Amino acid sequence: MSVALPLSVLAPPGDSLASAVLTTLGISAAAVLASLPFGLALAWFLARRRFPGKALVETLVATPLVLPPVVTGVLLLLVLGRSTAFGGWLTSTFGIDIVFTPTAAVLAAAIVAFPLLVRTARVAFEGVDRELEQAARSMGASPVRVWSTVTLPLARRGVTAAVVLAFARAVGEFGATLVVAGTLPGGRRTLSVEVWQRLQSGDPGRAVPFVVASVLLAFAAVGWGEWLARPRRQHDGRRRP
Amino acid sequence: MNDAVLTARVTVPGRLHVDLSVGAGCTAIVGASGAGKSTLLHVVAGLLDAPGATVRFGDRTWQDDRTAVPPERRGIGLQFQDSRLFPHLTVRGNLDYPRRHGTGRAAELPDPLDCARALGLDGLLDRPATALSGGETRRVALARALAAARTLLLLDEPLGGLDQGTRERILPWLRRCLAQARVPCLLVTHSLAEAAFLARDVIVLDEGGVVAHGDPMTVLPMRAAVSSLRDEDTENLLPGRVGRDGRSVQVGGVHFSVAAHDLPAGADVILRLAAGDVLIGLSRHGDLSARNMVDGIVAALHPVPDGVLAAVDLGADVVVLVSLTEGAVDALGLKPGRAVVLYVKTTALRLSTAV
Repeated sequence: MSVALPLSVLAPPGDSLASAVLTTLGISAAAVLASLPFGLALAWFLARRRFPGKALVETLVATPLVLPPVVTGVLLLLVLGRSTAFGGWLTSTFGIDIVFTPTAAVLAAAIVAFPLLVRTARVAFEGVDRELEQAARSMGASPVRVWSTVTLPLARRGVTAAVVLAFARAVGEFGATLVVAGTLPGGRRTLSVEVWQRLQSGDPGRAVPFVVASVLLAFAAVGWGEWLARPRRQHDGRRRP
Repeated sequence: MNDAVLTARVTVPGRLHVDLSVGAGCTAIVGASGAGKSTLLHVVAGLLDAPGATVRFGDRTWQDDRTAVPPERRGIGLQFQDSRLFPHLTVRGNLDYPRRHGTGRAAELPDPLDCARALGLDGLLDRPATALSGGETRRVALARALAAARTLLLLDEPLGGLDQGTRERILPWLRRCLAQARVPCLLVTHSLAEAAFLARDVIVLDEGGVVAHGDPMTVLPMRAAVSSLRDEDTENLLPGRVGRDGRSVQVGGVHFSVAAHDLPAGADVILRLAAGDVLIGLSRHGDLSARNMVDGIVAALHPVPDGVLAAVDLGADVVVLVSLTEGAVDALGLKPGRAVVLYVKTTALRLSTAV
């Protein structure tokens, strides 16, 4: 799964504002889309199943939430870097070199956003009435059908919120991205890395347009989430008792 | 029973020990709340795991020590006590659910629109399931269960929690649906009168076990023996049809004269008659105010704490329960097989109609 090609089409090379915004949006969207199937499956499992080691899984999922992102980045580098066992094997066997590619940026964003996706979606699944799922099964629906026709539709607001939160977190990602994907091919950088680069150059003024863009993007992402999660009136205004 | 289609042995330690076999048609399980009726239905449906339970349907084993057929492969239609309509779907979406999302061939299922029509839901199909009244919700849940039943229909208190008026309006629909259903039905209720009205076989559950099993007229008088049902009034629910003159209701081969009403001729109704509102005579007297005099034969006499319940057969499968004192039974020399005349005041007959 390479995101290099779509990204090179989406975002122009160089350190322009447009390039930074489009690189950020592209990487964040790819990160959320790639982690969505795993995230929803895991969220459902945590919400509905008891299994040995559940507490450990919960802890592992939540850890990136509290880990300094730069540490997450270093861990990624240790695993995937060309000089490490796994990374070296990837390079020699498949010719895949992940570090400092858009794939690394997507991976970094996905890892830091994953806990928010899973935890929010889990709460959404927990809120679905199990008795409705039972009813669906009694009418002949297989467990997978029950999930897609009852559980997911009923959890859709919470799942949407999970996606928006994860996306917003990916947009704001800085530390891990800086370590594994600071500057991408074509000189593309995410907004946050670009802001940091420009600060490093000694003239904070050069960072201002990027700071403004970041604020607007964050505002838009959160606003979008709020709009999607707004309470909706029932068709005729009556509510279920 | 030799033609058993469903046999179930369910034991929940300290709560329930039931061994039952159910034939074709509708069988009612009657008992007070907490008697384990719903538990039993959920085990039959495969939604509840009761260790050691055995459930067989026809020649298939649904559940025993080694087998547990998952609920979606049992082909049941289950109406839950709390309806459980899908709130994100319309009435139509709910009714179509078994056909669209069930495993197995959709062609084997009843047409959901037929089920909707049978329950008078034609006009509600595009309503969201969240925008229905209590009675409408119940009827949709019932239609959905009918639409899902390819092997067995399970109804859990189909009229529970509804006010008396709504109950009386739905009862005729329910009876008609059960008559049309192509599959056997197991119905759970806490009302013996309703069970007798709807089912041809009645099982009474008390304190976790079966205390009576038989046809309605045998079982009905046994309410006295069942602690939880003792306080229920004995009432006859007779399915009938409004006659052409509008002033009579035909029940089986008998015409009852009823008070003025605004129902059209031919309408399906339930005639309700309390067992204490019927007089028994040995011959026809012309000088009584009672407008209804009906010939019958005493089918059985059941002692109850406050006297005797007589089951009087009016022919054509119509049986009316009459409560009497022991003195009256002795004075008239009543015994099974004796021809009698029932006197019923027009005002003692109450009419319930479909919606």
